[in-house]
Amino acid sequence: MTAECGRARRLLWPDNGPRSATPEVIEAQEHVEDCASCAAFFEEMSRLSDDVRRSVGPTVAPFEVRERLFKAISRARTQTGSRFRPTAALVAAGASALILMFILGIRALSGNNNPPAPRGLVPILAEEHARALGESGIRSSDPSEISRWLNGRLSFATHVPVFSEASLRGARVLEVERRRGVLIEYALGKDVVSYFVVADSPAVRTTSVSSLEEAVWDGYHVVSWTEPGLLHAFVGNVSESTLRVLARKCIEQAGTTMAAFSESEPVSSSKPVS
Amino acid sequence: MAQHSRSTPPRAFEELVSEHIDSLYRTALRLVGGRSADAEDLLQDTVLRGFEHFSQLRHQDAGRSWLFAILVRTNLNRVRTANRRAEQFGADLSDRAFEEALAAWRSNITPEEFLDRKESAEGLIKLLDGLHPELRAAVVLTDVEGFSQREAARMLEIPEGTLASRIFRARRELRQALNENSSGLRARERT
Repeated sequence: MTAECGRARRLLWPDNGPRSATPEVIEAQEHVEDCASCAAFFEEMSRLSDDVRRSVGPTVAPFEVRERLFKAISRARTQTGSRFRPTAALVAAGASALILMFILGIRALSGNNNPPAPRGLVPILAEEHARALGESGIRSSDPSEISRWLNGRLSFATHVPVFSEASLRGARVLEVERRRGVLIEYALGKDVVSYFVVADSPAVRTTSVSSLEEAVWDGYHVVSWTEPGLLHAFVGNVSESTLRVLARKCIEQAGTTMAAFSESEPVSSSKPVS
Repeated sequence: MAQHSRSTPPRAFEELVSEHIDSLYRTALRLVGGRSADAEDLLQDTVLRGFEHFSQLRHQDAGRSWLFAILVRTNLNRVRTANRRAEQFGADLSDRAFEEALAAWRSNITPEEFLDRKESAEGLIKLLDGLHPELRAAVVLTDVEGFSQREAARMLEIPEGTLASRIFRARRELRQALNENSSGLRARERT
């Protein structure tokens, strides 16, 4: 072991970057070719590096960590307010969340027909809107991948429908009025359509699959239905008939039977709100 | 934040975090020595700092290394503030001292011992967690996360030679600890 070994090892220290072929580097390379000790040194460095990498291995951040982080970002974004300019797609997704909340609100209040008190609702809307924008999600056009991603993040099983006329873009989990749900996003031409599945309010639990309901809120169309424990809704800036087609295909794919549903049946409609 | 380019998607920061959250969490976990609660706190500090300075990220392609730079710097600031084990780290090696340390390395490990090491991944993680934070950060960024030494040196704001000497010191400590563990195991097997 000589000083030459130390110099060669420093000059040829393993890295994945380019190394200039200076005369001293070439000299060091020639030394290593003839030096068994240096060759063993570099081999052991490589093995130690591999051992460390293997020992740590892949890690998946727990859902609680993701949730905490994205809520923190969401709060920070709310505080920064108008610094961000949402795109049309984002506005659609955010507005969709608001519309769904409206539906949930109407359903929760059904029986007394009182609309939610605006002053009390506004902060909730703002909070939920910001939360929806900041939630973690997955970008994928693969329904299997999205199903796998959703598995474990929700307390209910969710079918990811596939449509010939709309392409799958991704999904995210969200919380609407303290109820966990999922938003699955589709591109339909230039428009974005959101498919929501949210745990239904215990106060309005249904015992069978309902008929489709339609609503309009701030220019967005909504087609929703329920099955025991879950509320489904398609929301988007497309025609109601388009949403109805998607909803029907979704139900068919999920294998859900809708005894009450047929094309000729009059559709019960929520009260439109402009 | 106001300096975002017009082409920057509004949720670009969330998407960036979402894309790298697993590896960020893995690194955070190792940087804090495996304590999950500390890793979560570190990660939250990191993403909030990242969110605050997202406008400074000029090239979206560099998002991963930018996030990791914030992560390791946030951690080192926390460590320095807490002044944990600062007395054990000492100064970085000069080129001459580094060469002497490199020359002093003796490769005396057998293939069987390497095999033993592979079977004791958990043990190696514990040894890694026991390294000084400055050494651990160098090894995790390069060996675990696969950043080039140039990138890692930039993240840690140190010269590349200093980073190389830290990686070497970390590996030397790991090897020494592994050898001690192996010797202990063999001694126990004999008795």
